[in-house]
Amino acid sequence: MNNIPILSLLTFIPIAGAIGALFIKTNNNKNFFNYGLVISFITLVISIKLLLDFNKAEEGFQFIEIYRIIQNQSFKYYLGIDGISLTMILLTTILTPICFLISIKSIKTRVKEYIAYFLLLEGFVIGSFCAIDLLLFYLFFEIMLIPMFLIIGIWGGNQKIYAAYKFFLYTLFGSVLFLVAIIYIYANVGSTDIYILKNILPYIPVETQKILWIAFFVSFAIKVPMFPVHTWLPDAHVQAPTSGSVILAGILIKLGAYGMIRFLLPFFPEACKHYATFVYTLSAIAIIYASFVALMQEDMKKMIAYSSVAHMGFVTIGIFSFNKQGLDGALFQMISHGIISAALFTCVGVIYDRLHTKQISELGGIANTMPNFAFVMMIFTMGSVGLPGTSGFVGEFLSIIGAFQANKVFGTISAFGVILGACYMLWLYKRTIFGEITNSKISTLQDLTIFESLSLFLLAFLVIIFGIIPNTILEYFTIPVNSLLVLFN
Amino acid sequence: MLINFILPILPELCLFSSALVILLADIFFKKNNKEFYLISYLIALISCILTLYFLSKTGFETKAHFNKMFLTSNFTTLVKFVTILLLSFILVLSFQFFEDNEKISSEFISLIMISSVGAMILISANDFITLYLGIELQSLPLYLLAAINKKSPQSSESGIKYFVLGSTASAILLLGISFFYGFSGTTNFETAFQLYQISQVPPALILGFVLIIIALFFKISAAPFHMWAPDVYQGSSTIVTTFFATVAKFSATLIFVRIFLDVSTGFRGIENILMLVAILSIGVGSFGAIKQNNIKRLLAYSSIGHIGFVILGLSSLSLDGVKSCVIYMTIYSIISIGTFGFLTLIINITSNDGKDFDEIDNNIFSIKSFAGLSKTNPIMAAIFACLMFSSAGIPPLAGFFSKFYVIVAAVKSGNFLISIIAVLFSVISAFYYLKIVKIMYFDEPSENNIIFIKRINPKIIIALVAVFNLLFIILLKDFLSTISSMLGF
Repeated sequence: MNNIPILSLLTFIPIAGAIGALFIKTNNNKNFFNYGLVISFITLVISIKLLLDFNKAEEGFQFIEIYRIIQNQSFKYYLGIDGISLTMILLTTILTPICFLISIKSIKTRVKEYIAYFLLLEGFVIGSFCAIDLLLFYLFFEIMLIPMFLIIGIWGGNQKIYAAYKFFLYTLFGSVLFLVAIIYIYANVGSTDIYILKNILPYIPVETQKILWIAFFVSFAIKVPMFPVHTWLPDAHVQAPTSGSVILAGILIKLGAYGMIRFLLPFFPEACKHYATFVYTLSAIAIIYASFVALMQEDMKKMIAYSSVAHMGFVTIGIFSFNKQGLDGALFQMISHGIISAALFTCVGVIYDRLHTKQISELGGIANTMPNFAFVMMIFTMGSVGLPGTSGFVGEFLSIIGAFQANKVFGTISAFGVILGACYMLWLYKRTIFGEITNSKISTLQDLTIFESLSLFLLAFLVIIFGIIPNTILEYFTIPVNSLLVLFN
Repeated sequence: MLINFILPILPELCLFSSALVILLADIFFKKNNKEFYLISYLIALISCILTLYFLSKTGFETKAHFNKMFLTSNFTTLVKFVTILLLSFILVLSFQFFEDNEKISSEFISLIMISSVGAMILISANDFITLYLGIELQSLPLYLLAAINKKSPQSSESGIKYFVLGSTASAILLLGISFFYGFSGTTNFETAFQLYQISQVPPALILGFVLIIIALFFKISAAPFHMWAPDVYQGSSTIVTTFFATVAKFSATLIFVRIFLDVSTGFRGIENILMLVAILSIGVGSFGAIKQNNIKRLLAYSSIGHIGFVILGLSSLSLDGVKSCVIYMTIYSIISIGTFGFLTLIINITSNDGKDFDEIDNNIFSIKSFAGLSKTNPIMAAIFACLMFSSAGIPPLAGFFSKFYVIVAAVKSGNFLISIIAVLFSVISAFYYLKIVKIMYFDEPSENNIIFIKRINPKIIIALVAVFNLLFIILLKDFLSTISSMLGF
C-alpha cells in the first residue's frame, strides 16, 4: 500500500487529464465538462483517501516521495505533506469540480482548452502544496501563472488583456526575487531541501536573513496580496470568468500565505521577529483600507475582491503573531476564506449569468424571485462577516486573539475590520437581495439550477460544519504549528 | 604521415570540401535542376554525418596543433558537435525553402557550410591569427547570405549594412591584435597566458584586449554594439536569420568563453566590462523589443537579451560560469531553431504577383498576422507559445534552467545585485513574449493571417524542439552530466 506514489498521482492525474483532453474529439461541450468532472472527481477521491490514511499524530512530513533529478547536486523531486498541506490540497480538490459545475452554463467557447487549463492549474497547485524542496515548490509556483494567465485572457471580461498582464507581471516580479533568493541559498548552503534548510538557515547571520526574508516576502506578499501590492487582485477578479475568480480567491492567493508559513517562519525566525511590526502595519492597513474601499464599490465582484484583501490581512497578521492562536487562526482563516470567497464569487457568477451585470445599483429584490439563492448567499454573507457559528468567525476570532496577544494596538485595529466587514457585506446583501424589484429583468429570474445548488449548498454545508466543529480542521494544524512555535519561544 | 598531419582538421576539411563540391557541381549541372537540387542536399547531409564521425574520432584530448595555432579539446569538440547538429537542423529546415529559385539553394547550402567551417576553426583558435582567420571565414559568407534574397531591396540593404559594420569590427579586431602583439610579443593564447601568469600586464595590452573583445561583442551583437542585429535579422531571408541566430552566434559566443578561459585569467577588471555589457544587453533586449511590431525584429532584440545573460554567466569568470554559458548557449540555440524555424514555415503566398516584396514580407512578419492562431492552427500555436514561455524563462521549460545556472554562477561569485537587476529585466522581457501569446490566444483571427507550408520535415524538427523544452526537466540530469563530462569539470 505504501508503494503507491499517492502524491505524484494526485499531482499528475490532473496534468495527464489536461493533456488527454486535447485529444478528445467531440462537438458536444457537455462531453468535455463530463470529462473534466470525472478527472477532478478521481482526484477528489484520491485526496479523500489521502485524508483517511493521514496520521494526525505524526511529526514532520508524510507520504514522502523522493527522486533525485540531478546526481551530485541536491535538486530533488521531493514530495511530502503535513497537516497544513493536506487541508490545502483538499480545498483544491473540492473547489476544482465546483469550478466545472458552475461553468457548464456560462462557458460556451473553447471548452476543450478551458477544461485543460483548469486541470493543469489543479495539478500545479497540488504539486506546489506537496513540494518539500524549495526549487520544486518554485517550479510549480511559477508555472501555474501560465494557465491562470490564459484563463483570464481568454474567457475574461472587457479588459481581460490588461488584467491578465497585470496578474502575470506582478506575480512574476515577485517570484524572480524569490528565485534569486533561492539561488543564493542554493549557492551558499548547497541544498534546497526543506529539512536541511530548516536546520541551517535559522543560524546564518541575521543581516543575511533579513535580505533573504525581503526577497521571499515580496514574492509571497504579492501573491497574498498585501497592501500596497494588492492592486492586481481587483482587476484580475473583475475580469476573470467566475470559475477563474473562484480558483484565484479560493486557492491561488492562499499560496502566498502558505509560503510564509512553510518557508518564512521556519527559515528566518530572527528576521521574522525583526519585521513583525512591519507586517502588522501592512496587514492592519490592508484590513482597514481595503474594507473602506470595498464599502465604496459599485461592482459586486470588485467589492468581494477587496474584501479578500481585507480577510487575507487577518491571515498575515495571524501568521506573524507567532503564537498558537494566531497561527491556528491564520490557517483556519485560509481554509474558511477559501470556501467563503469561492462561494461568494459563485453567487456573483450566478447573478451575472442571468442578468449580465455585476453593478449593485441595477440589482435589488432578488429574494422575491430566487429564494434558494437568497438563502445560501445569506449563509456566505454571514460567514464573511464572521458570525459565530460560521467558519469565518473561528478564523477571524483566533487571528485577532493572536494579534492581540502579540501587539495590542494592531490587535485592536484589526478587530475594527470585523465591524467594517459587517458594514459592507450586509449593505451589499441589503442592496442586492432585499428591497423592491427595480430592474424589470429581475422579476423573471429563474432560481438556482441543479448544478449551482449542488455546489453552493455543499460549500454552505462546509461553512457551517467548520463553524460549529472547528476542531475537524484545527486538529490537523496542532503538530505543524507546535513545531513552528518551538522556534519562537 | 599526411593523414596524421591533417587529422586534427579532418572534420573541417570534410565539410569544406563537400561545400566546394556542391558549389562546383552547381556550375556544371545547373540545367537539370530537380535532381541536382536533391543531390546537393544529400551531399550536404552526408558530409554533416561524416563530419560528426570524424569529430568523434579526433580531439578528445587537449592538444595544440600546427605550431600551437589550433587547439582540440573536449570543449572544442563539444562545441563543434553542437554546431554541426545545428547546421544539419538548418539544412533540413531549408529543404525546399528556395523552391521557386533553386539556383540560390545550392549557393545557400555551400555558403552556410563554409560559414560553419569558419565557426569550427574559430572555436579551435589557439592564436589570434587563427581567431581572425576563423572570424573572417565565418563572416564573409554571412554578408553574402544576408543579401541572398535578390528580390528584396531590404535584404541587399541588410547585406551592405552588415558588411560595412562587420568589416569595421574586423578592423578593430586587427588593431587590437596588433596592440596585443606589440606589447606582448606573441599572438598565441597559451604563451600569453603563461607570460602573464608571472609578469605584470602592461596597460596597452589591456587596451588591445579590450579592442579584441569589442570586435567580438559586435559579432555576437551584444549591446552597445548591437545596432546591426535587428535590421539584418529583419532584412534577411528567414532561413538565413535562423542561421545567424544559431550557428553563427553559438560559435562566436563560445570562442569568447575560450578567450576568457585561456588568455585573460590574469587580467584584473575585465569582469567589470563584461558585467556592464551584460546588463546593457539584457536591458536593450528587454526594452527594445517592447515596441517592435515585426516578429523578426522582436526576436532579434530578444536574442540581444539572451546574449546578455550568457555574458553575465561569463562575467563570474569561474568554472561554474563557463559551464552556465555553454548550457545557456546550447539551450538558446535549440530554442532559436524552434522559433526561427517556425518563421521559415510561413509562406509568402502573394509574393509572385508583382507587388513590392518587402512590403508583403513585412506584413506577413508583423506580429498582428499571428492573431487567433490558436483557433486556426492550435498545434502550431501551442508549439510557439511553449517556445515563447521557454524564452521568457518560465519553469520548468528549458529556458528557465539556462537562466537558472547563469544566476547561480553570478550569485556564487557574489554578484547579488547584478543578478537581481538581470532577473528584473527578464520580467520586463516576459511582457513581450506574453504579447505574442496574447495575440495568438486572445485575439480574433483576421483576414491576412499567416499560412503555413504543408511540408512535414521542418514541422517535425520544430515539434521536437518544443518537446525538448517541455521534457527538459526529465533530461536535465543527462544533459548536465554530458556537458560536465565534455568540459572536464
